[in-house]
Amino acid sequence: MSDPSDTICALASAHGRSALAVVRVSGAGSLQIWEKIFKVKKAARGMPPRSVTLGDIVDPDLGTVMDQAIAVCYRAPKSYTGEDMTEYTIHGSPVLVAALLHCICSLGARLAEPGEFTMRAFLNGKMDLTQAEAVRDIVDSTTLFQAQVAAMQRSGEISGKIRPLKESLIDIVVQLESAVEFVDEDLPVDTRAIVLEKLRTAIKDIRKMIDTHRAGRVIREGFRMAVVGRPNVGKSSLFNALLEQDRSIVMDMPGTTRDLVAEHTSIQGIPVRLMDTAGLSARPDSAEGLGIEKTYRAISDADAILIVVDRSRVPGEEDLRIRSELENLPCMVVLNKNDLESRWSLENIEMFAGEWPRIEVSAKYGDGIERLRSLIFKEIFGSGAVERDDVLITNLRHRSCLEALEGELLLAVRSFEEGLSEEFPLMHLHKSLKHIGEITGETSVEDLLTEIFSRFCIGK
Amino acid sequence: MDSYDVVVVGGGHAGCEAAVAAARMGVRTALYTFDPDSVAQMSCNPSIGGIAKGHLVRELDALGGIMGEAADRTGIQFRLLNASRGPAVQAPRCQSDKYKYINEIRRILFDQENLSVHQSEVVGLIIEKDRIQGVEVKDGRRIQASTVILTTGTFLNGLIHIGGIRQKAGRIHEPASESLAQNLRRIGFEVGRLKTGTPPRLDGNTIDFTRFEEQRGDDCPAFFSLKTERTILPQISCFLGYTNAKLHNLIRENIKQSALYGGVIKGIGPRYCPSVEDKVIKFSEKERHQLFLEPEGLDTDSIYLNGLSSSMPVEVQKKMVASIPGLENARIIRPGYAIEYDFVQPTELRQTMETKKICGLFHAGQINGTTGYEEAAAQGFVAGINAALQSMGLDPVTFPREESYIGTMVDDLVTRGIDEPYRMFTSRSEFRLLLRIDNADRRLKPTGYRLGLVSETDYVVFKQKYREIDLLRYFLKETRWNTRDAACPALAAKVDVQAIRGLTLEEILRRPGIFLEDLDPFMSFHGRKPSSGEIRKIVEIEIRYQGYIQQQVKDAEKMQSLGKRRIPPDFDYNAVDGLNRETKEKLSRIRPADLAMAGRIPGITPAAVSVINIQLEMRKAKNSRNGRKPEKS
Repeated sequence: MSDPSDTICALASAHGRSALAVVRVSGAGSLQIWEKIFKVKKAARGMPPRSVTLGDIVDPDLGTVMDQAIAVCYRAPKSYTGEDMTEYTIHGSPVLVAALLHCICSLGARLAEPGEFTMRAFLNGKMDLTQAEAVRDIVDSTTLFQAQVAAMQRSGEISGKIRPLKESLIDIVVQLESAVEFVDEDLPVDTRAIVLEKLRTAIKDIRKMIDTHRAGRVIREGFRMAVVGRPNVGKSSLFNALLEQDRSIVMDMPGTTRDLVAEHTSIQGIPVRLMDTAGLSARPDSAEGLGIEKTYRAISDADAILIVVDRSRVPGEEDLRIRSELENLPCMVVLNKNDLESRWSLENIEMFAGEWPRIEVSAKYGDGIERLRSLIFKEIFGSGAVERDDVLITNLRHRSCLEALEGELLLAVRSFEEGLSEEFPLMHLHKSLKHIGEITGETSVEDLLTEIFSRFCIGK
Repeated sequence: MDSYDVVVVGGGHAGCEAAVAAARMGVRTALYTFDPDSVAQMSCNPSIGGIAKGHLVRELDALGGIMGEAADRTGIQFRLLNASRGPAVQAPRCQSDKYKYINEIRRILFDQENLSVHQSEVVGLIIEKDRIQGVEVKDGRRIQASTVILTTGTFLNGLIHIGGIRQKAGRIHEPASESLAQNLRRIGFEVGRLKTGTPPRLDGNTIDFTRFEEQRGDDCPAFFSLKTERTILPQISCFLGYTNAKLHNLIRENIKQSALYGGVIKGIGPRYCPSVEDKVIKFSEKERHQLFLEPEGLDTDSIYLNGLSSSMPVEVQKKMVASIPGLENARIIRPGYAIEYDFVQPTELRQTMETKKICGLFHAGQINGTTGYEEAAAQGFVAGINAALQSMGLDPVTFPREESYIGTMVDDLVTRGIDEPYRMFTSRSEFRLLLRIDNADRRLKPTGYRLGLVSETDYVVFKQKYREIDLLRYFLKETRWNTRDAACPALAAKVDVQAIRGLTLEEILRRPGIFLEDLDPFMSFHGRKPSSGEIRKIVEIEIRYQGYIQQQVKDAEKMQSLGKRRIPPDFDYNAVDGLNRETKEKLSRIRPADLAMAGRIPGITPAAVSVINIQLEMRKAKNSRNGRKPEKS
């Protein structure tokens, strides 16, 4: 049974895309989390219990606004679960939901097990016996649900990568346990220095996994799109047009690279990071060379690329060169300036765009921008970067598990560095194995002993 | 007809501990054994303690058990293992004079009030309506008993193997218990077969010890019992040597003759105590294995050849021994052998060691699939006190995992069952940093006192000790360092005493390399100088590792909250919807005492535990509703 003293969170409304989504947080930490992620529009003092408040959901690390939301705060015992509780009603985008849950988890909550809210309500005496029958049915069905979740976790993006990591951790634990338990045996165990090195490698691997984990990255940084094209085709105005639309829920973020302007926007609830590039010039040795290099990097980092061409100018050699450079990449062709006379024949367009989706817009007048946004949204979903929200949440579980894992391993390293003997880092290492076990299945003491006895000849 | 409150069957380490505990609690106790002259025999190595095992003995000592003091009085070499590591994994071990140990325990048994020792084989259990009534002995007499503790060791259908020779025996040259074994199968217990082995004993006069590396004990021995102050017997050395290629070849050439590899042995052996055949075959890349020569006593020349456990024919064993430098002319007094025996799955037991099927029948020691004298003694103790409590009509006493290795072991056994001989390891405890030898008395002495197994005098000493420690901790926490009160040259040699002004003494003590001793003048000035080295050490441990200790205390509290949700023994798992058939079957068989234990059963998911929890709550709600008068009418 899960620890009832944890603060838990989950999507409380139905899965899938919808107009609105409700995220529920329950437990002693829920009010503190509210303070950190929910900024009330007007300087409303305190949190009036059980009244609806309008505000912004803010990423606690970046300070950026993720969405506008209404939220309700309940104080124990007057809540569904009988604990302190908050509920946020946000726009119904799977990525937004996942991003919010991610923020809440980063503030000390964990994702709820199926039926856990109801379970708490029941245990806190918020229900009578007839209701309790219903609760039991819910929890009963969770056995099946958990099996599904488990199956999904096994097939999740991380679980395949985590297996070698688990093996290397078991190796470390086996080494250390053997050294502690079998002092009189003449065992070829690793030195502290080697174990420490292995631990650091494991931590690096985990960090890498967290950083590159795609669903995680999309949630954290948004879907990355590079805007490219030869100079003066209207990249910047298109860029601005895309940003302009959603000013109300977009916060500016200064570009991290000097020659790249990167801004966050949100397309139907999905955070998108738009990167305006310096353009692909034909003269790589020119002063613009540096910018071009960055452009190429932006392209290689991007989940999708918007190629902007000027429809009012005859297709040039440069357009074709750009096309050939971007061959095989996920691109969308934006035919800009449809307010002017077209100099691109249908044949030109067909040749240029090929398999890529294409769209005519006027960045200047805003014509077609809404359609472009829909196209981008489709592309985001089609690319597989954003999947169904249950998958996203599964991946979110993986992520919080990896983060907990990293935390324990760092503590293990610290106990080593403090010169403590094996049993101290082992306390953290056993906890880290527990975290891995949430994804890959438990490692029991017996499993470890088996590993020890198969590896070392122990016994006098 | 003879009549007792507690009858203990078997005089090994489990049986002796059980009998003495029960008798000391004031109930009429009888111990039946094949041979009262060889009670508490060390059938295998002449040594007690070691990592985790030494912890068990310390815990037993705190509770009022007998193994610790007896081992201290008969120890001929003492070592504190893991002395270079942290306090939680340090543990004492001693080499024992195995004959003096027998004498020591026998003296305790015979001197014990309420306890009678009998030489007789128990051949059957008398059971009526699933309740034990007594036992039947070999000559046909029936002994009445309200509780019976079986501590049969390797005697149940014992079968010894030496090469191709097989012989029914409980130990070499001692008869096996066959009818009792049958009796247990008839009751319907889940019975399995295990195997263990022992190495040859050599005549010390025929050994060239100069070819081995001498291993001495510690100069300052650590004892098992807190009451022990010094060694009684002269101290001896052990000797370390190695196997070699010649020996390995001998084993490979003759492997078919080994009882183990000949396919006749069906029992499962302990992986941590492999025979030398196993070592050579399974770890063929290893060029040599350690061998220890351990004297079996002061008045005997018998040497235990630790590391050469074998079931080869005697002739091969002779060649094997002779292949070792220094043992060329060594004479084998007794060959090594393997032994198979029956055990009863410990999932048949409650946390009290009482069987679930037969009320009043308890199992302890190797019958439960464990190995080791210490493991046996600890179970014997738990069975002994609970048999006594039951015969007095009192509530049982159990030991939570977070409080002791004893409790961890019992819980492992009754929750998970065993599929190979079970030995204690510190890694079996999720609270390793809490279960230390230094605080065994703090953890368990109050329980021992409550049971009447710790004397008033001992308890007063114990309470004074921890009163001083607690006061000292308070002083160190609240007092800030200054340079006025008393100069501390030892401290000044390690840190800048000006720079640490204003820090609490506790903060100073948390710095690496600083000990309470360094603060002695300051402590004396305040009248707080610790009265003993032991107290210093405990205080230092508690302060230095406070962060770690607190984390584990928190983990333990989490477990306790689930552990408080008891599951009634008559709980009907089959009536719970939402549990699959396998889960229902498993839970019905093991009958966990509480939700925490339910969650520890292999294969029981958190969801299943939640389902049971809801069922329990509903039951509670129903009961309270039925019990209450309707408020509205």
